[in-house]
Amino acid sequence: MNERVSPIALHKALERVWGSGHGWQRLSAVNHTVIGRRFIVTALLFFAIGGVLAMLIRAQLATTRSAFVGPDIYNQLFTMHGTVMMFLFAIPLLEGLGMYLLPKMLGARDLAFPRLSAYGYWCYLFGGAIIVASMLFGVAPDGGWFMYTPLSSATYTPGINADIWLLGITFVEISAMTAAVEIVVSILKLRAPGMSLDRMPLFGWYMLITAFMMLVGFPPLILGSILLEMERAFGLPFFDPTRGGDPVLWQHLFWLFGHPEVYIIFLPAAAVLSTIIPVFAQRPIVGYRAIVIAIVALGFLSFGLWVHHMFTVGIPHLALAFFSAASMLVAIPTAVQIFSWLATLAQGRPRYDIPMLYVFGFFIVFVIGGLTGVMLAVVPFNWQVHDTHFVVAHLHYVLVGGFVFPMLAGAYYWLPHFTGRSSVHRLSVPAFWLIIVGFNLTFFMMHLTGLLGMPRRVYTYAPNLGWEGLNLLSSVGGFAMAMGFALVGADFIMQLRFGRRSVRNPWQASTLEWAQPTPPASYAFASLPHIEERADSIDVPKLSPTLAAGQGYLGFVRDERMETLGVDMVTGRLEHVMLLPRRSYLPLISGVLTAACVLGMLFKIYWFAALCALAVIASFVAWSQVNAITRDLGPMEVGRGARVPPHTEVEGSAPWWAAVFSLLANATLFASLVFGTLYLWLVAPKWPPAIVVDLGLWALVALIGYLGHFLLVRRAIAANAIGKPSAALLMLAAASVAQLAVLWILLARIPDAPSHAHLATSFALLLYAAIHAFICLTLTLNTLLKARSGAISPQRRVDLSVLKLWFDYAAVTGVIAVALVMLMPELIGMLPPS
Amino acid sequence: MSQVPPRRLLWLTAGFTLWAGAFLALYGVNAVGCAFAWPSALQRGVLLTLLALHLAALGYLAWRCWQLRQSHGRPAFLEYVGFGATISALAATLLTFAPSLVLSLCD
Amino acid sequence: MNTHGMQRMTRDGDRRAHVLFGHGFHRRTPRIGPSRQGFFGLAHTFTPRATLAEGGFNATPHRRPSFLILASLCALGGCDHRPLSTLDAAGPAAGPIVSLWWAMFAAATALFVLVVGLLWLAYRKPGYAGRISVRTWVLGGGVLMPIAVLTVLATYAFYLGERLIARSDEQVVQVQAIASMWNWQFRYPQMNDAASTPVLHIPAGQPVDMLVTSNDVIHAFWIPRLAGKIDAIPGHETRIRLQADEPGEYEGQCAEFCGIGHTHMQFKVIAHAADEYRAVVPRNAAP
Repeated sequence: MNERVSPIALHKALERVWGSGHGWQRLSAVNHTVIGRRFIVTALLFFAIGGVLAMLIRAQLATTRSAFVGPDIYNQLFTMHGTVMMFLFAIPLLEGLGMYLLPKMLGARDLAFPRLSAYGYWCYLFGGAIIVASMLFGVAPDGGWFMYTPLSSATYTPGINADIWLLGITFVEISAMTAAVEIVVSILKLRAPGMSLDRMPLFGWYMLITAFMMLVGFPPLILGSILLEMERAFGLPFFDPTRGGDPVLWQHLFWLFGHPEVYIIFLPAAAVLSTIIPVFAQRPIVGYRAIVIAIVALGFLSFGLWVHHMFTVGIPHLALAFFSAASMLVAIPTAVQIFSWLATLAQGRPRYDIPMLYVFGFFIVFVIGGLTGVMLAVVPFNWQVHDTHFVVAHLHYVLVGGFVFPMLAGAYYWLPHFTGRSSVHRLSVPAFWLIIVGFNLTFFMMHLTGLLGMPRRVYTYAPNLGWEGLNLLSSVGGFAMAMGFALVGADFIMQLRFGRRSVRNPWQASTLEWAQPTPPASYAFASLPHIEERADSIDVPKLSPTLAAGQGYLGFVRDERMETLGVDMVTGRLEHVMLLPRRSYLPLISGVLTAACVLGMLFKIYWFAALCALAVIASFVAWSQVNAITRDLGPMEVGRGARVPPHTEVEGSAPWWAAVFSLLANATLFASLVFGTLYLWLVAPKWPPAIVVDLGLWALVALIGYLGHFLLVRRAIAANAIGKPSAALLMLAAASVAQLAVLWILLARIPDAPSHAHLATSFALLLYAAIHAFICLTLTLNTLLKARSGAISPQRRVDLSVLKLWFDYAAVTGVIAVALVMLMPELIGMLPPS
Repeated sequence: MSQVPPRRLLWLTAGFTLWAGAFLALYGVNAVGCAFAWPSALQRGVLLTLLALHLAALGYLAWRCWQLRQSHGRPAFLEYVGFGATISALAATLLTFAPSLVLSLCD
Repeated sequence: MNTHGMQRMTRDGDRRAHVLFGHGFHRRTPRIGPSRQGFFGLAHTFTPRATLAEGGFNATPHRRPSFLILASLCALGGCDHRPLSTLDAAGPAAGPIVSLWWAMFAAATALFVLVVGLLWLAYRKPGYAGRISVRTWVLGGGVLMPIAVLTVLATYAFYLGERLIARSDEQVVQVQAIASMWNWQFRYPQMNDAASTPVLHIPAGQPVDMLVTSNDVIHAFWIPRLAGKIDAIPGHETRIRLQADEPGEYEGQCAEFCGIGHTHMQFKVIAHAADEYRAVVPRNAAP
């Protein structure tokens, strides 16, 4: 460790440890570069599928009374187009880009949880495959990409189509949640030493906020999907108005996710712009702090807009006004960013190149989309154009202009980094013009067709309405745009196969990802830098060779382990060494088992699904047991004269924060369930119910049980501090089993849950508590196993800290759940009799 | 930024958390009031009181952020953006919920 | 103004004149009964000059249409015959929205030109653009300018929304609309519960409240020329207020995806002169 190794020897040593293997071994890859690229490539394949679906739609709508497809196929076409584009293209693409770039830009060797990244990818791939394969069997989802009930309920969609959507999307969302947790923790904890938050490149800020938004924004959809699937499969009426449910609840849950979703899609694209524009303006970004404030504001404000998708539902005007005002306000942080970018260009020495073409395209297209968005925020206007092609025009202008164009700019910008080759420019420029002209031709017309009354999701139209010429133009434009995208695809492939070897850092950028060899090595940095200035003003040519020579931190391999550095969240002060697990097939195994579980539920073979679920849990236990550090390591040398402890022996390490943020997401899910329960009580038809739940004294037993947990888990921690955790853990496990039994008894006291939403929501709340009791039991047993195998000690206590988090969370939510069910009879008593 | 507690990060989010709280409170109270057919003067009064409370809390937060800024020579990064975020949240709360003064509550 | 009876077809004859004089703009003065003033809002605001004598119902400032844009786009679309066009407003619930649209379109065009212009300036005249201070760019352009524009827009938007909503405490003609997969039935609760009709019959020249619900899935009730849309939700009754200024035929359609038959779920609307309305419905209703 102390002798100087040559860069070549260092490279070989690192590659041996960090490499992902060859051939079948690549299935065990956990490296962020490999997984990030997989996400991106898979997302682009789904984009092509979504694009073909769009072409089929345009072929059908090109002429009036076209006989190309009938309504049954057409309904599948537009549902799949939206679903594939939103869930299987946009989100995974931004995840992949984040995974690929973040460690490099932040000066780390990898993300915090490499196996989790890999598992997320498999969930995405298998879930996406299930959804898309349904088209081959003619049972693709056909209720629209937002699947409004009651149309998507079992009565009106008896086939498997809706279940494929609900289960498939929830499966894919696992990958979104794992990516979100990982990105938040990695950005906060795994930066290069010295990179305080104000020295972090804006890309990091954007992804941090995006990931937080994902943590809070996806759970409402996950909950809604679970509830709808339970309604379809087991008859529990959450959305059925004939049994005390409300179809509008689905809309609230969906759009609570749906609106932040589009900002989740936009922010990483804005991150790309904030990274690229300064490079092409040849000066640092103008308004760094203003942009940070703006994106924090955007992150929050975007959660206050969702009802603007529901302005015609019959909600009172004052409530609509809140959402209308917030929808207009959100234009302000967006404008701050746009004017900052313009200022950067104005105050720099702007130059042209292919990425800038797409930036221009962004300015033109996204600004139009943003302006029509403000129009749509106006309630009376919305009442006319809601659910017409005007909205279709708007959403494509903001999504294509605000996501696809910046991502294409990013693609051309980073392709030399991905491939190590430079572009063959012949194709790039004509491809751009085809795309932008084709796009505008396709979608500009739709503003007018919408104003002329053309609704969404119609498979044909009458000839006397003034829509034919415009639709034909749209279809022609669509095909032009498709050709443009095909040319872009060809362009990428050409660069990959025939491009000349690129110079390092062809754009003369000053962010860290260019301070490493391109294409990147598996270990990203041969040694890690200490950051003294803002990380978008790095002197790359000076820094690169010093890092490659091993002169930074961790310029060595120790004990055949993958290591990177952990820092203080705010100041970037060096705190600990993060010991990462090496490549493993476990993520793949877990992914396959999860897919089997999903398929079991899809085909209603529930015993099989339950078995697979248990197998998945067992595989996660295996993750935890494998790679466990079995001895106290104490402070370790990390280079540059510094010694810090490993992450297992500090407070506030990555695994602990991951638990915190996972619980944040979980809390959002629980809050959505509580919201749903109260919403139905307040607003749904057919309340008050005939039967009311009576939990009796067992409810008090449950509450006391939670108090017991609170005390017992602290006892276990105290026991570990003196090195004897096993007995206390065993007692904790026994208490969990007891609590599970009590909750089971409570669940059994709910009579005939399918008969009314009151019973169904009470059932759901208690089921949530029971599931968490089960999770706590599993975690306790896992911790016990680790204690027996020596992976836990008074110094290595992170497992117990995480256990405490889960137990406290389960106790708080359990108390709320039981108390709410106990309270429901009182609340029902307040309602006027039906 | 040498010794900055991670809590300082919360300054970035505190203001808008209050905005979100105001949203929940006002939207929720409006829904409950309409469902139980409260007299509109009472309903509006409750809404405006809740709004005033949140605005007061935001004002206090902004003032504390301002003090924190002034206590350093040149405002450090988190203090600056924390203050900016809080002021933005204050403005957002005012603008989002101003309609409570005049608009129809339950129609 | 015409005083023809209920069978006048709005899609014949004088469409060409409408193209020349700005197709799709509500230029007729509203016909209102003596006791129906002000249901669409504050009667004292924005009274157009020619209609003071009849009471300021259509309380919108007169729009100046973009003839050129509309004419050229019309050439593409064939503007003779657009029964579902929101721009061809035929009542005071739809008319102000058209004006609002054109105003927003104009403002949006101006803002678009500004942003693209600034981008062009940044590249072509870097010295000039560079001299604009950062504060002006970010605070002026990013915060103050949008706040100013949006405050104006929001104020008018809320004002218009208040005018258009159907207040539950007002006395107007009521018709129930019941959506099913995939047709509409209309009932007339104020006419001794006269049985339902598949065609919507309303009196012209006065506000009508539609009470909308559904028998199965969510649909939406929409007569673009007369008003915005309202969802038809099973288990709930939603309400929208609309008015046809002139007797005649109008078209409505379902505007929320409701399955295979969604595309064909249109309905016909016939507005009758007020004095004939009470007789028409029982004649047309199915027993």
